[in-house]
This record gives sequence, structure tokens and C-alpha cells, in this order.
Amino acid sequence: MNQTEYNLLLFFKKNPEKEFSTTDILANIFPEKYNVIEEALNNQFADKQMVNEAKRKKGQIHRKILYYLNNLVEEDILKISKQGNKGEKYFVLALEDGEELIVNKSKRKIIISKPSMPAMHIDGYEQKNIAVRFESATWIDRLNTILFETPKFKSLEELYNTINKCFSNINDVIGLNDFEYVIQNNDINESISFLRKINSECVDYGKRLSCIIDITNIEKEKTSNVFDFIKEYCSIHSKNITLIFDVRSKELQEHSDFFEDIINLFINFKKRIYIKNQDLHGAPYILGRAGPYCFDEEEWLVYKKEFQEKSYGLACSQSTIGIDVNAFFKENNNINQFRLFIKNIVKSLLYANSLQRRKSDEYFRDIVKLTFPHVREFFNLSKNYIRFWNYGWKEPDLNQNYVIDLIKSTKEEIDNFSVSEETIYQSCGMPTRFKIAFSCLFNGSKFNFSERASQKIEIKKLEDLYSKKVKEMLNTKEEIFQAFDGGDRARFYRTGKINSKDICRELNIILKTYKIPFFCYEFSEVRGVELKLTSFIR
Amino acid sequence: MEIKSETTIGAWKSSLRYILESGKDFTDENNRVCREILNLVIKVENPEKDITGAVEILNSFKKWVYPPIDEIAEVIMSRKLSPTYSFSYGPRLFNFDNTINQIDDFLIPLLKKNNFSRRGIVTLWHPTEDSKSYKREIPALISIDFKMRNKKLNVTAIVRSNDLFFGWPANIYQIFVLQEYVAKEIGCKTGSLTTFSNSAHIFKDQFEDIQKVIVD
Repeated sequence: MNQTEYNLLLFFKKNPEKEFSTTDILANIFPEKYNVIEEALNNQFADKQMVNEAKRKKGQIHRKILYYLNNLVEEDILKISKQGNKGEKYFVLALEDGEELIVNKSKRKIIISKPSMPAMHIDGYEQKNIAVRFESATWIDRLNTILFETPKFKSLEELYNTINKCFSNINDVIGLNDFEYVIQNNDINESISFLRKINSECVDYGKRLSCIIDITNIEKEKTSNVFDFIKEYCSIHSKNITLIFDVRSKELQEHSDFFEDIINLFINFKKRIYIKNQDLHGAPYILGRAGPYCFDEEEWLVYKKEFQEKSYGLACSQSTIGIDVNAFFKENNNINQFRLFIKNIVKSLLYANSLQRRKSDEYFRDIVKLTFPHVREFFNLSKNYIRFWNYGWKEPDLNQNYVIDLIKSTKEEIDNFSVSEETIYQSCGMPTRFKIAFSCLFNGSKFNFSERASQKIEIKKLEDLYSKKVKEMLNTKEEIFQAFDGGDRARFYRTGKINSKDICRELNIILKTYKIPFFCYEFSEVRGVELKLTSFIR
Repeated sequence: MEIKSETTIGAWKSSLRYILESGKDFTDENNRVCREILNLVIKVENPEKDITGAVEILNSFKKWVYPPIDEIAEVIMSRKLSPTYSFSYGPRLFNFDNTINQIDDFLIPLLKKNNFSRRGIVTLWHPTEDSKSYKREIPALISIDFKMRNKKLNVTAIVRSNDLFFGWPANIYQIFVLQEYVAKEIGCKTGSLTTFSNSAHIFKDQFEDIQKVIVD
């Protein structure tokens, strides 16, 4: 057996459950060569010849490792699990849970086994399509979402490389806090090039980015940069990148001209605009495929005061389980059964966290490297999500108060359970954090859940925000926002005649009147919009 | 007060009963009513007989999830600090302050060289890290003393704050895992296991469950 082949087998033996990209494998099998090449490629002062040489060498070891990997695939030891858009192959062991593989070649024998995942409380519910582990293949060895403090990064290149590296540590979304800093402190062409490049990486890796723009921090002389960036963002129609505008109603009024221009862009490109109300929720919101993520306000304030300056970022969510409430009640029309069901889900998450803790060094290698020596602080605000699908919101036949009370009282029970678990762990010499957040689930139908049962919040004109029907819906939504401590989102479908001034006023009314911290205005159903040149000239 | 028992379960149940009957109540900083005995000594003569017994009893309750037994052991034997813990016993023992492996480089060679040494003590309290009043999470296990007598390795642990219901079963198992490791390295048998709890306590909200454990 060749030494490289032997090293490859040992590498997979150590990580029998994990999926690796060719680059990951390369970095682990030829670490020294790989680091030298990466240093040369990321060196700002490297000349063209040096970069070309590094690229040539990278290609060379890439081909070498692929040769051995493909041999192992042919021998049914490995299998290709997926292929990225750029053609990068991902490999996993060709083993089922609990299976053992004996590779016996030229006096060397390697036994690789894949441990079976022990039975968990969630298993039975998954079989009935009542619950689902979000991204089950990477449920334990990746985090759902992390937030980066963009002002901490010295250059766009550093930010780009870090995001890229961390894609292999997360399975949903990365939030970029204070993203206005990036736009305002870099050449606009570089920012746009960053946007295009990172969008393409997001598509390749199937990941999302949430760029959070705090309107308070936008400097007057930099508004054209911000505008140009947003224009580019709208024009590329990215499905993977979301801009979230963090605003206060007062600022919206003060910067109304600028904001109207931005709204015009979103209208003209028929894009959704996301708004976070800073007066109601100071901590960032991040938008993933699973749904919205947010931080606890009180914890965020402590973080801001004591740690934000030193921090590159922090983990927001570790593991997520989605549940179909409608499907559950079709099977069991019993509230106590529901509470027990949620408690069992929480127990599964507790177990997942235990596995994560014990292998966190290995699973989150890049994050540990990046945040050292503040690794512990990186996990200080992290939690697990239980996301609700078809929980009754906007279902016309259901008593909304009943649903909200059920969610609230269940949450209270779960919080008590989590606190007592933390106490138990602490008394055993394991001071660890275990928090559960409730939120909504997006795209439940993708998980074979029941058909979406909901009504739209449709706004045709400003006055609709005061109509009895919309008011009632929004009041219920306010209550749900209170019950969903992990965040929620209200979605307004704007139809009818439209102009940015009116939209700005409508946004202002929502910001001032309703306790809805996070919402979006959907312009995709607006008809007859024409691109106004004046809005692009600024 | 000293409680002696042949077995782990026996020692645990007797201690719980004693605190329940003779402890003094007070409300702690987390607003929990706590019943406490100061300086309680619990000696288990033959811990290997049923060392996981108390953990198994706690595991049988459906109300909570007790940490898995292998994770409990890892906490004291793992050399690396998991990023998700604010501290851990293993790194303090095997890599204290990134300067000394107290077990492999001090304790084991010491006891191998001099079986009757009275210096076989390792410490988990790190004053520059832990003596800060604002810190919420600090070790409860302060030091562990190893004495080899009659060809057996006897261990005494000092625990500053000991939740006798939830904490002690895990603590005693962790100390035993370490005792077993050291005994194997120096080539002797494991002896008795004693904990000295500066504050041995139980909480009022556990009384009902404690009664169930004691009666069984």
C-alpha cells in the first residue's frame, strides 16, 4: 500500500461519519505543501510568477490526490457524495452505519468502522414526517449559522477567505454584521467584485449569506457607494445572499431620500426587501434556508459590552429540528402528547450537543483556529432551534390565541428543562450551555411536511395597514414574535399602484405601530413597474 | 461527620438521607432553597463494586437527561479543553496552565519511586483563573490526594461545593476513572475512595426525587 493511500485510509478511519471535499482532504494529507501554496496564493505582495507557480503546484497535488481518491472509489472503499458547481468532488466512506471495512494490502491491514448512531427520540417522528433534522447529514458536525463582525477583518480578501473556509463548518447561513463598514471602507469596484465572487461561492457550496446593513452608520458622503453596491446586488438576483436593513423609524425619516432610492431599486428589480426594526430588537437577525435566526437581546447586550471589540464573531445556532404541527395533531389530538413530543425533540438536541462538544475541536477546526484564544466566547450565545411548520398562523379556522398559548406554555416548560439540564451538567463538572429557541420553519414542503396552510398579508395601499383584517393579522403576528424567541418574519405582499415614497411611509408605519422586529416587503407581484433612470443616476 | 459504606450506592443513599434529615436550610445566590451539611466525609470502601450504580439510578428517571457515562469520564481524562466548556478537569490535571502534566509527569513517577509518598496530590483549582468573584463557572473539585497503602491506591478528593444528588454520582465516577488509570500505571489495585465535601447540599426542588431514591 502506497503511503498516500495509507494516509488517506487513516484519515477516513479517524472521521468515519464525515464528508470531505477534495480541498479538505488535500489540506489534511499534504498539510505542509498545502499551507505553503495557500500562503503564496493569499499573499497580497506575491508577484504574478509566484502566484502562477503556486497555482501550478496546487493543480499538481490536486491531481495526485484525486488519483488515489478515484482508486479508492473504484475499490468501493469511498464514494463520491456530491459535486460542487465548480466540479469539486466530495467524498465519504462507502459504508453503512455499523458496518466494518477491512483493507488488507501488502502486509498492512486497516480496519475502518462506521459507528451506528444510537437511537434517538426523534427517529420515530421522522419516519412519520412529523419532525425532521435540518441537514441531517451534517446535523452534528456543522453549525447552522455563525455571525462575523466584519469590521474586524483587515481586508475584503481576508473576509472572503474566512467565509470560504467556514463554509465547511456550517450547514445553513453566515451573517455579516455591520456590513456597511465593508461597503464604505473599500473601493466600490472591489466591493462589487467581492459580492460577485462570494455569490458564486455561495451557489457552489449551497450556503447563504446575510449582510446586515446598519443604516445608522451610513455616512452621508458614502451613500453613493452604498447605493451602487445595492444596485449591483439587485441586478445579480442572488438567491443566496440577503441584505438586511437594520433601521430605526427616526432614521428612516431622516434618510428618507436615500431610502426611497433604495426602495426604488428593490421595486424595479421585483426583489424582496428585508427590514429589521432596531428599536424593537437590537441584536442581529440572520436569514437562512431553515428560517430566521437571532440572538437573545439581553445576552447580545452583554456581548456588545464585554466582548464585541475582541471578537471575530460568534455561533448563533448549533442544530435545528423542524416539526410539522399540523401533521402531529392529525395523529394525536392531545396537548399533553404535544408537550411530550417537544420534550423528546429537546432530548435529541441535548444528545446532539453532547456529541458536538466531544468532537468540537475536530468538527469546527477552522472556527477554533480563527477565534483562538476566545473560542469559548464564540459559543457563548449559541443555541438550538426547534422550528414550527403549519402551526396555525393565518389558518382561518383555528383559534389563534389557543395556538399562541400552547407555544408559549410549551416554551416555558422547555426553558425550565434546559436550565435544569445546565445545572445537572454543571454539577457533574461540565459547565456547558444548553439553550433552545423556537422559531418558524421555511419551505416545509421540501421536508415532506404537510401542504402550506396560510394566508398572505396583502397590502395594496397605505390605508390597508389600518384595515381591520390586516390589523388583526399583525396583532397575532406580534404575539407570535413574542412566543418565538428565536425570531420570526412577517411577509407583506405589496400589490397595486406603487411608488417608493408610499412604501417608505408604509414601512415607517409598520416600524412605529407594530411590534414586529423583522419583516420583508415582497415586490414580486407588482405589475407594470418600469425602471426609472433617475433612480440610477445618483 | 463521616459516612462509610462498602458500596457507592450505599454511601450515596446514606449521605442523601443524612442531609435530608440533619441539613440546615438557606437560600442561595440563584434563589434556590438549599439544605446543607458542612464538611461531610463520604468513604466508599470498594468503589469498583458498583461505581456506576448511582449514575444508573439517575439515568432511570425520565424527567431529565443525565450526561452519558463516557462523557462523564472524558471530562476528567481528556487532555484537551472542548471549546464549549468554560473549564474542564482533564486539561487541569494533564496540562495545568499549559505547563505541567500533574498525572503522567508528576504523580505516577512519584508513586512508582516511593510507594508510601505523602506528596501524591494534584490540584484543579487555578487561583489566577478561578479566584475572580465575577466568574460564574469555576471547578467544584479542588484537589485529589493519592495514597498507596497495603498495595492499594486510596484516593481522597476535596470538593468545595457538592450537589449530592446530581453532582456526587458523576464526581465519584470521574475520580474512580482517574484512580483506576493511576493504579494501572503504577501496577497496584484500587483501594477506597473518599470525598470531603466542604458544602454537601441538596436542593428543595429535588426532595421528592431524593425520597424516591432513598426508599428504593
